[in-house]
Amino acid sequence: MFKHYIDCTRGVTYQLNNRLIRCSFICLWLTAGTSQAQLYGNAVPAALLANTQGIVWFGTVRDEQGQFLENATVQLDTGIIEHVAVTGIEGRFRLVLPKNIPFDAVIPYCARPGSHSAYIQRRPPPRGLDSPVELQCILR
Amino acid sequence: MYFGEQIVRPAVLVACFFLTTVTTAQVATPEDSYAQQFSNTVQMHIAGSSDEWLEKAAIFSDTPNDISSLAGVAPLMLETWFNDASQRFLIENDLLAGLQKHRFKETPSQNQYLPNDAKVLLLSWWPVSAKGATPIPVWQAKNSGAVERSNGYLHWPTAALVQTLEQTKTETLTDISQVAVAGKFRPISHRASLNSLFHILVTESVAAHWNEQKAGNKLSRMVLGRPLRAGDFLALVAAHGVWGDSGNGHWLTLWWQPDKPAELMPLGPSDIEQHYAFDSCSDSTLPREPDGSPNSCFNPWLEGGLVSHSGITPRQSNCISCHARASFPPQDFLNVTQGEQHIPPNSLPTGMLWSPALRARDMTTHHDEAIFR
Repeated sequence: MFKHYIDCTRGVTYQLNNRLIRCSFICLWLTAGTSQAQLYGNAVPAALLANTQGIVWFGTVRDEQGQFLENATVQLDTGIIEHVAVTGIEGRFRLVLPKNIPFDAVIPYCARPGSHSAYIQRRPPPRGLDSPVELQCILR
Repeated sequence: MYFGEQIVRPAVLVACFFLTTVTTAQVATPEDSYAQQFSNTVQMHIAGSSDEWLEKAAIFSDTPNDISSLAGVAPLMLETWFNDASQRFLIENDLLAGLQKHRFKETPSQNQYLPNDAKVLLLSWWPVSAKGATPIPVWQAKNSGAVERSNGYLHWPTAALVQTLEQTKTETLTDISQVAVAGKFRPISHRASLNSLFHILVTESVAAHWNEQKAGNKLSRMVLGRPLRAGDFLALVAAHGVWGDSGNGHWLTLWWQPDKPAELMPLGPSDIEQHYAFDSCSDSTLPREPDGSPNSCFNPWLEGGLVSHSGITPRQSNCISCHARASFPPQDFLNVTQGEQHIPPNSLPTGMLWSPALRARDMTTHHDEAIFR
């Protein structure tokens, strides 16, 4: 099963055999000069998209069958305060954390009413960068 | 001498006993009186009979949409209601639209305090599903002392499972030990009936109103997994109130607390009031706490999430200490304070209300500045 999504304003995402492969970093390189926030934003207003200050955390929430889950809550606990987002219709979320919060100091949580547990995986930023961080949550 | 003492002592004792009995039995303390007034006002709003009151959105009609609710913050479904006198105060002191022009003028003093008959009420709602039980995080006083981090409802370790009366007849949820709420799985510490909370039925128009608001929409999706819809309920989890009275006014607060510890005062004697904790103050410092620190008066739903820059926990905060700084331009709005505080120099007081000051700021500053505050 091959699905190919292209949305010029939101970035490019490929899903191949239920294995999610993000090519956002390539897009970032290809579109050098544009705001990196514009690559990952989903239903985010222009005022937020324009903001490039801070560390971008983005990703998806899915069930065990690989279906993207709308209205799942993602919490990022920095040890000082929780940042919270709700996934949009494509199961995606995006948050911007303050720059001084190290990647490994953040504890992520994902849940949705009716779900029982979660598997969470995060991918650190590219070497030498502190942003973006990708998060994948699987709920069952 | 000895005979005299035999007569006088019992007489004094009897008099003291009589006075104590009469005063405690028949004369309500001011605290009781304020709690009852507060409860009555909240219930008046629940019943929809607050005709002379106006909600903030109707008064500040051109307020920009609160986009900061999208910026990762924990949303609350808040309403701020102003009675006749407080509306007049805002209009007569040019606090609705005229704040910006005062920016660089000397601080006038006539609008430092609310008039005696002014009342302002802030209500915080929680969406409750018409079908299926709904979790509500439960604040625990013993976990509220951390200085270094926020203790808002996202951080509270347990949740109460609330059911409508109809649901309790048909569903037993005793086999469920934890529940997903606002991103986390939490142990269920309480099971409660919706009748233990002040609540209103959600109509089509109420659902549409909250779903259009970003904070309301976000909270509903976090709690219910969907937007609010007709047939659901809104349960009151917290409220703030201020009565103008004189000077600083009297500040009142309540929150739903299913397991109220002994040190928390109930809102009133009725069953539903017993499920709400109540606190109030009319001074930023007095009466002092048992450890000698300034008087504290806070609400875990509304202040628990604040992060202190000053070493003072939200639990130690005080309504008047915070609101005494309410002025335009607003400075350090979210900092936690206790004890006596003053309006910063070259600022315009806004009657101890943050609403006009924050609204004027949102009208004049770029939104990005508000997002990460």
